[in-house]
Amino acid sequence: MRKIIILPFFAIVVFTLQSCLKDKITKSYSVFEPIYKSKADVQAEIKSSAAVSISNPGKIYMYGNYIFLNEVNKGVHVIDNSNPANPLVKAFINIPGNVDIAVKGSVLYADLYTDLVVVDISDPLNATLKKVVPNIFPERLYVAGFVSDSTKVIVGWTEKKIKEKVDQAPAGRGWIARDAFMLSSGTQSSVGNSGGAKTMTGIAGSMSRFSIINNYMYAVNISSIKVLDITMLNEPKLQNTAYVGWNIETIYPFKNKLFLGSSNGMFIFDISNPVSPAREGSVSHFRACDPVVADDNYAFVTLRAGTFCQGTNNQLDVINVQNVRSPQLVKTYGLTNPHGLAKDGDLLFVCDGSDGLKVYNASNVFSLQLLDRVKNIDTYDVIAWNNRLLVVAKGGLFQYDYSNPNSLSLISKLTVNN
Amino acid sequence: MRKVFLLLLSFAAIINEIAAQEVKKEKMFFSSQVSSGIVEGEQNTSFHVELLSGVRYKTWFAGIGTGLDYYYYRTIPVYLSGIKYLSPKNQSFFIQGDAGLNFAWEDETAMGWSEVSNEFKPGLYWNGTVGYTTGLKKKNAFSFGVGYSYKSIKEIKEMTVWCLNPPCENTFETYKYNLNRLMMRIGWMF
Repeated sequence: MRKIIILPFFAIVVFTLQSCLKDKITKSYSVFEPIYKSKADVQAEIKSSAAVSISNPGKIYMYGNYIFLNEVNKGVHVIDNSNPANPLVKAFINIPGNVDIAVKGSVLYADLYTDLVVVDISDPLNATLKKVVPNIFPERLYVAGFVSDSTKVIVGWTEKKIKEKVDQAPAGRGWIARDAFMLSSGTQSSVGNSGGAKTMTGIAGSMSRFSIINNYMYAVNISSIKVLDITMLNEPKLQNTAYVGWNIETIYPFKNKLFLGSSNGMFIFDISNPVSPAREGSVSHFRACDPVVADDNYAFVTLRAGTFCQGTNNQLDVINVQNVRSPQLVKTYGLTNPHGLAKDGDLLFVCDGSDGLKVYNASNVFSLQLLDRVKNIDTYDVIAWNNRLLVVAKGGLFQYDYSNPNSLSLISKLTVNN
Repeated sequence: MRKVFLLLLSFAAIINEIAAQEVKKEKMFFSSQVSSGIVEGEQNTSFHVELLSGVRYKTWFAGIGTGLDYYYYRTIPVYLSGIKYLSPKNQSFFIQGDAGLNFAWEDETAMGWSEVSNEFKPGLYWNGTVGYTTGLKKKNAFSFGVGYSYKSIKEIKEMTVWCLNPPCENTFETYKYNLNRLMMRIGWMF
């Protein structure tokens, strides 16, 4: 009995030693520092070079038998898609800081951080720089906390791995990396893909910030639309900067309208006067990222929550735009992590992040019918054209045949090589 | 991991059932122990509960255990255990050593707003205990022990950094938790 009595005392003694015990929590992360190159050198290198593997795919642009695929912040892959079952990466155009692309005729327009570069792609395998229009995107002067001056460009990053002891895990179990900066990844280009290809300008996805309509190129930044006259393809001229709102993210053209997705809502602009976009209507929503596609009657907006998008909802909103001056939300559908979307006739294709690609029959917007779902790909944006679907996902570039929308069939894939 | 945990519990229950049917030889028999108690370390004081099943031979015991450990992160230790009783009698001091792996019971709600995902990787688990057991009848006994317990786990957080041209590429942080605690447990052996 005496032994039993001793034990609690023993326990008390042991637990008084608690303060001697220390937890050890280590945090590992990477810090990235920019590698600079002179602007002159960078511009001299803007030309087709040997093909490189795809590692971080961004926006896509389909033009004839070619696909132009943005490698985020590095340049553009030129892909010969003459045989969709066997697409070939033929060349790479080195454009540091590039995230957006658009094509008209034989000219590729691309951003190079703050500048717009004009590249002749009449022979895509032998592209050449034609012109640099400086300071079209001044907001991109700041890159992950670093500022380039007018003479140099960030062409890469050196990674430094840091390991440090911390007192405890971040408050709330998770915060942004304190010092970790990385390249911003891209999206895709836009232009109407809802039935009817625009052969002169190609086709882009819904995540784009560039759009070409007739002789004008529209480029949105965080708060404005830049209108550039591209009548002379190699000589774009900035005609107007129209301030349109805040946190503008995407642009989608349909007929003589521009649909702008912002993190606070969707805006509709009339471009009957192409130089001066005039705001006609808008719909506000809670804070979220929201690419948009539209047809004559409805706009389809995916709202993505979390991370930099903030908000808490992931959904597809269907908005009646028959009266563009007073668009009305008609129906909301829950999704998982929606990104880009595309529409072809009654078919609506939605990239739902890690939940894959979803195909809906949208003939009745009040009751979308899920026809098929492609699983096991983390989808980002999509172009639908002529029964062929181009899908950019984390794993690469996938092409599907949707002639039977109830069962998409994989035509080919170009996989990411990290 | 929850399925594994339930599987192990089922396994232990089956072993115990076999033990109940096969208690014939006094020198070797199946034995199980349910215990719970507190763990206390630098971060806080938490609760733990365990189930241990195995074979006892004379003054030795060897078995497999699992449980729930709520210190810092809720985890599921799965371990091999060895116990040396200092006396063959029902009332005896004992020394216990456990070693195994520590799995996270994932909880996505614990993610911060900037996190896209967090993934846990298992780490090591071990503890050393000294205690005293006092029998009631046959193989039923109370046990009481105190000791030192270590568990580790790795967490990989994927987060997004805001940028002007979203979507912004994600960044990663890896946390390695090496957690040292004092443990007290009270158990029922059967």
